[in-house]
Amino acid sequence: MRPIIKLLWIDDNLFHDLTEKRMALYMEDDIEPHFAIDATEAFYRLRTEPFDVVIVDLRLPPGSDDMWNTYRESNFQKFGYALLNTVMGPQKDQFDHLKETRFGVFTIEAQEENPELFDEPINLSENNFKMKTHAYHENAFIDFIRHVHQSWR
Amino acid sequence: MEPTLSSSLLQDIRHAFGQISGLPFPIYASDKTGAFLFANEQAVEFFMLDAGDDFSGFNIGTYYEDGKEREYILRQLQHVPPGGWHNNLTVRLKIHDEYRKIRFVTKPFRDEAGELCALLCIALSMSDIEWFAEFEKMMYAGFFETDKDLMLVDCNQNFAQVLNYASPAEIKGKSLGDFFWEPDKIARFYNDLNRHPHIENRQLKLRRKDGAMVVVKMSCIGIAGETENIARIKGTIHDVTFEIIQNDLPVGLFLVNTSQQGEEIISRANLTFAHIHGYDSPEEIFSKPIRQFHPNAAAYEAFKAELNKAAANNQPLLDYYMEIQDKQGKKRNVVANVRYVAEENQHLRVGAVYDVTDHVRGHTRTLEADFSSVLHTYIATINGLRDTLTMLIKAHGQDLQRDETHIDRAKAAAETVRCKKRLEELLADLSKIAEERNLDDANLARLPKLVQKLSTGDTAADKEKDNAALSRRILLEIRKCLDNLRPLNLPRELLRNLRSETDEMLRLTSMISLSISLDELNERIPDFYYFRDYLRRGEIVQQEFKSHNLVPIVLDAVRFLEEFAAIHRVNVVQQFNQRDNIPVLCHKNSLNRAFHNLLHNAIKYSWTKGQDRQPWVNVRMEKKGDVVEILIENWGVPIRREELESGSVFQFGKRGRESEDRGRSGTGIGLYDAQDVISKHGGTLRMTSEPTFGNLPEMYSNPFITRAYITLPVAK
Repeated sequence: MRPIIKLLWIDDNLFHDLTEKRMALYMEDDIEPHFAIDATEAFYRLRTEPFDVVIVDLRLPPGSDDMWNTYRESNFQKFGYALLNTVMGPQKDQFDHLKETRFGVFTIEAQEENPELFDEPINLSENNFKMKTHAYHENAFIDFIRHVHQSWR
Repeated sequence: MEPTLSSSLLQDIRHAFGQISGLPFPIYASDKTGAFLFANEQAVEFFMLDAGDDFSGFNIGTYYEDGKEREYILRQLQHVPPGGWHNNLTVRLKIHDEYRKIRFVTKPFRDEAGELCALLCIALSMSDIEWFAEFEKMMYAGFFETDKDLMLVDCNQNFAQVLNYASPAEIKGKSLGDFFWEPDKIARFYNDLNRHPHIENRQLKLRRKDGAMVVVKMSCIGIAGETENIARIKGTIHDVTFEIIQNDLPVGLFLVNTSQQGEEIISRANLTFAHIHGYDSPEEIFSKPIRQFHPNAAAYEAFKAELNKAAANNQPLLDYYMEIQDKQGKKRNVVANVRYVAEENQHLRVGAVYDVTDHVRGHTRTLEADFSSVLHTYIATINGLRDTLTMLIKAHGQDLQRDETHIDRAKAAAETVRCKKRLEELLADLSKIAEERNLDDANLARLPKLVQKLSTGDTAADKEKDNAALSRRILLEIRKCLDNLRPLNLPRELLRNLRSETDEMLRLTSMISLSISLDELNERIPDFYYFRDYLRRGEIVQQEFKSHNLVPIVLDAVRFLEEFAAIHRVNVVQQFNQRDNIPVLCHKNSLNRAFHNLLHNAIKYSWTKGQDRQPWVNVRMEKKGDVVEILIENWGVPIRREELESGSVFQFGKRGRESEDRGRSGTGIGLYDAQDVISKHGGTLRMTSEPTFGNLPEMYSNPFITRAYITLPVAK
């Protein structure tokens, strides 16, 4: 029997065009899915709970917290990046419980558009980056989650 | 003061004066105190000494601008050896309100004790060039002299440098004509000089040693010889190549200085820069604060932040794309390259600005046209899909229909609960029979788990989409399991009934999903329509305005959004007489788009008030004299005070901080577009957002009353 993967999927479209993909997760016996739809909600979930896998969309809305104001002022759109940068960068001391957590990015953007993901402090593995258009079928998405879970961080 | 000179010394001075007084220069002698002793005719005239032969009442010291300067000169003369002359004492004298630059050639006289006691002076007038001669090497003018055949016989260092030679020696002996970029102009130059021996500021293209062109302004004179018109030519050249580049380059060049008050002022600019900013000449734009050409404070601050960021890395700011507004307030798109001037502590910056407005607008228009046509096709497809969904619901959900286009989802949900119960009962029967017959099959083991999953769904109303989607997946799995059980020794009738209940439940959940999807489509379609219409908008030309009744235009927007309002359960209250006739001169489609957008926002950002209380949007319209006032008012999502005060709510692409509340989508174009359209109709659009009674002004988690006030001039 496979170990249960406690997953946090962060995407503002979870309750729109990603509904079917989201439901597919419930059918998998080895995935315990949790969801957040903006950077603020995700930040507070991540601060209080450990997860095995966190999948982040880059083009996230910020949500209500003022902590994103610096990004907001420069008309920034990628609060998924801001979230990862915060969790792994300046505020990483608050996230000690995520040491074993694997992070993945599932986005409409291309890898080349986001070179900063692969540098300090995020250091994302290229294999943990997937474009939404490359996972049109839900099996590909579920395989991606399992792959991220098994990845070396 | 009486001269204290001995008679023999005075005799010596008189003698020395007599020897040179016939020379054509002002010559005089004075004692140590400056009192004149002798003066020739030119000196009398030069110093305006109107005193016959007695000059003792005049003192050279009174002509000095600064008395200390004479003391300095006397000190210099102390070092002149007995009987010698000092030939380079320059001084500015003030002679009856006129300043004159003078070089003194002076012979000092000493008494028996060796003390300086008198001076014999030749006063030579100096030209500006002589006066400033010590700066000759720092001047950028090139001086040259040629013989009658244009052979260079003399030149200064700058002349050589302009033509890229290391020294005058290297260039002497060459023909001036050899440096002409266009050899056919040599003859003309020479002929012109023959006809008129003065040429002033003639622009000529010359060839440098390295082959590059240098454009100069040349002034010269032809000096006649005994037999010929021109025996020599003397002249100057001034390199104006970069002046030409600066003036003729189709790029705006500028220099901005920061005043002591911290204001950034345009201190120099070329003609193109002036044109880009809507001025006819550079002089008109000098002294204007650069900030006034940025469309708003935020844009200016963003530019400065980027510039300072680049400067912190010792880099110029390159290819910075921004919008500016010219003198008339017209928006232009520019690309700027800017850097701070070194050693000026960021108080001086220079840059170049490219006007890319036509390029950007051309591209944007093409993109808009292409995208609007794609969107148009997309909308057609979506409309077709919506119709298909409606028909599928009618075809397979007749028993669930609430009205012509909607099903009663609560009734469908209740039916699924009954189906599930029947499914559980039938499955219990099946399990019992399988146990009795000792059948061991994975599908038999899986079925109860799947049915168990069916029961764990959240029953909250906002989960109905999830429940339907998840139930459908489970039911498909159940159906697959039931199909796999066919070969087993199980009652056919029981399997058929199980399959039948599964199919019925699949139908019900599919109806719920279709109905939710239909609502979602209906919710999005106004956005698509609006965006398509925005992309296809034409220029609003006032000359093409026609008189239309405003009432049907507003009503049209209300009716178009009826379905959208119904989905949001918003009641649009029309507080105006639908039979009124309020004529306005307008571009009907644009005005319709503006009202469509304002009303769409009001509905979209309304809060529901619970099951029993329907949210509302008020639309009022009233003619007041020459204007019509329209108010669109809703209760719900706030607009933050700072967004209203800064005007950012009307900025292109800017969505309000609270506007994403509960996943509300939007483009950030609507209010910008509505204000643009209304202002082009001579009207105004003002937004307010205030807390409802008893709530604090900046508690944005509470609902606010948001009002759009529109005024438009009534057609006469």
